[in-house]
Amino acid sequence: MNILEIMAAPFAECMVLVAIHTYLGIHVLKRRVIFVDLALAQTAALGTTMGFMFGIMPESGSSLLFSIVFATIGAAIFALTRMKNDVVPQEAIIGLFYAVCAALAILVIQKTSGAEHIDDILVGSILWARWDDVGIAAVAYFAVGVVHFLFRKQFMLISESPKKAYEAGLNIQFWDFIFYLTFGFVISFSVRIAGVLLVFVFLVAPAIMAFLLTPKLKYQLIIGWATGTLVTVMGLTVSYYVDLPSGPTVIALYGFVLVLQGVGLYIVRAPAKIAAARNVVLCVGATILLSLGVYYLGIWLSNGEETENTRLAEAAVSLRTENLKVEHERINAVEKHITELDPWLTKYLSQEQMSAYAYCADSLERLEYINTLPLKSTQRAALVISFLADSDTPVFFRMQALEIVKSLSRNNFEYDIDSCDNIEAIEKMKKALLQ
Amino acid sequence: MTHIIKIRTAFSRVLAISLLTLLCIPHSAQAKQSQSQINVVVTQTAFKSIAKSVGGDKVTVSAIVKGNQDPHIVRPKPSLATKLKEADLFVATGLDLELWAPPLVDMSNNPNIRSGQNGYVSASAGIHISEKPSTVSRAEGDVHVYGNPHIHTSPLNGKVIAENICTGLCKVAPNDCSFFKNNLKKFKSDVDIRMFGKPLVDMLGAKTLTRLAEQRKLYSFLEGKEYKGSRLIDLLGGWMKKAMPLRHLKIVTFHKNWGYFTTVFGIEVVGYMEPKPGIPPSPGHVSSLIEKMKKENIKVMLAANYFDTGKVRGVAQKVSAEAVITALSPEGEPHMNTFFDQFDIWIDKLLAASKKE
Repeated sequence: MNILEIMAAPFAECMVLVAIHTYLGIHVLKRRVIFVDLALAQTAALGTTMGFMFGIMPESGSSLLFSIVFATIGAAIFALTRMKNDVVPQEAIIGLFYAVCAALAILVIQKTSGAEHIDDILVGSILWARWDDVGIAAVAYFAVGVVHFLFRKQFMLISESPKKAYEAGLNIQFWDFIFYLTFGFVISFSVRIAGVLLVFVFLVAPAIMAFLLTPKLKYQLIIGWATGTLVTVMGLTVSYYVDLPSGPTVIALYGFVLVLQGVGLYIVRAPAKIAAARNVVLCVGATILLSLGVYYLGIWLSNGEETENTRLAEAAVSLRTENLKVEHERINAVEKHITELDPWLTKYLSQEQMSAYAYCADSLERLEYINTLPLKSTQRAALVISFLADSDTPVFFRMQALEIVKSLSRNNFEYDIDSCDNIEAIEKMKKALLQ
Repeated sequence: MTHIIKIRTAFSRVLAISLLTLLCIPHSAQAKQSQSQINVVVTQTAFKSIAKSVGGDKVTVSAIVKGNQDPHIVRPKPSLATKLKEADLFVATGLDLELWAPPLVDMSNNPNIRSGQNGYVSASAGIHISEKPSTVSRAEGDVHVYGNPHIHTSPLNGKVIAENICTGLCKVAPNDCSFFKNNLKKFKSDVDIRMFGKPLVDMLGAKTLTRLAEQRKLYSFLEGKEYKGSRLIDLLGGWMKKAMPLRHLKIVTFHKNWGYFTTVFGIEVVGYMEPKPGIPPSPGHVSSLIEKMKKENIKVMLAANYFDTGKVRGVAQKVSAEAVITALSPEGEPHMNTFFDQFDIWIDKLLAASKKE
């Protein structure tokens, strides 16, 4: 199995995600509604959860429909709450909307049985992307792309300057609704495959990288797509070879690359480049020192406090005492079993032999004991007779024990293995074999 | 002014009285109920089914974790504490499966059901726990430090669980002890007959059969022995007979849920979807698992229905294997109502999957 066989579908999914989310991310950054993605994702997730309440499995198409319906409701709310004069920033409403949806999802999960792991499903994992998922998502995103291409003027004008859009007589609420509707549509598909975190990063990170380099939309798109592809390839490769969870690796790498880009731009654009470089070196040094500090703080704190390890050590101790207790109970049981054996056996067997016989867990073990241990013939005969006299001995083992009796005496003493009443036969055996 | 105050105090008195009556009604109703029946609360539905068999009509049993829920995780709810507050007997696995249970018992403020008290039953007492870790370390994942706690997946463990529950019931209701012991005997003999079939139980005795099955020696023992001209293996009945085609079947499971089940029926678990217990699958682990499944031609996967079934199906699809998704406990899926039903359904589903090629 090579990297392509397992990582090809996740990689293709990432590419499809980068294509649409970089574009939408540029809009989101311009509109300053960064968390609209999280809020819409949570609305879609609430839809899936509600669907589950009706018994619709989260992987099914009907479940997707549920999340799209919910995302549409979310889109309508975001479009309606855009205010001409911002008394309350829209970001606050979006944040509140997110919190309420998340809380509702928890409440719904509580009232639905079997939904403990539904949050895992909602979080998604890029590693599990399948080709048919990728295909469906690509078609859906393409459709959204076409809508946005056709009405690019309206969308761009509102994103860049809502005031000018008002002046131009555009119906902003209508266009906002269409924008959030297509957005929610995209999110419904992406989140279930890639998870909330990765989708958020795909939306914002490439767009930020592009914004830092150029103000022109065309170049922003090209830069966003290029860096998005590059970082994703690197992230998935690292994830495969170091065996780390794929989504978080890609996200962490985006963070790292953004820091590198920021530092690079700081040096390049600084008027005094040497001073800037010195500052960067100082910052790197400080970061290393801080990491070391955290590391030693962790070690120092873990020595004094009660930690996970002490809990485990306690468990090990209690396990040992538990084992001792079980052993003790077994010894007690053996002592009890000895008292249940026929008392006349003590005439023929030593105390050790008695307890070893009593220690046998069942009829089969007793019979094996009689057969295999070096016993005198009277001792063996005594045990077999006691074994046959026991009314609890199952019929199959009586048959085998009777064979032993036959081999000792060439006589079966008219013992009936199917009957419980063999007192006479047992007495005859005792007389013939034990005296 | 004064009459307003009077009206207010009168009003608050009425309010207080009506509140008091409201508080009293449910309590007296419950007191009546608990006099006639023992209120048993169990963690898992398998224990519920067993407790019902042992307790008969003298008990009411309710389970905290539903059959299609993950027993490792329970979100605390006020109703759970109330439930435990009213419990006469609390049955838990007693290992570290239900780490959520001790805080819940604390919260319920019911001293009788604390560990070590008469109202507490550790269902796992006396069961031979498998997969005990040799070293205890979190580096090995979310391991259970006492060994595999999913004891209810072997029918034979059910007998020990029933014994433990019976002991607990005798402690809280000594007068009905002989009734419980009778039910226990009936339950144990039911398990044996369903497991091995009546002819073999009569012939070899339940003790020997149980030990051989637990040591994975039963099939080979029966194959080598004869009784009155017929091979013992031909006299085998019950689940052991039904599951014979599953012997040596190689499967992959998601988590180590079915350890006892697979051991007793001779099914070989060659891999887990989780790299370590409780740790989600990573790309390297999944690709090596897929490779292994292709190489060893593994055609059956088994997972509890509370795990992310899409992932299991995804892997199964890649190696053209059958994914068996089923409830881990009774009441977790249709027709799985009792402790006995779960074995019928698991064996049926695995048989169906292993026959598909």
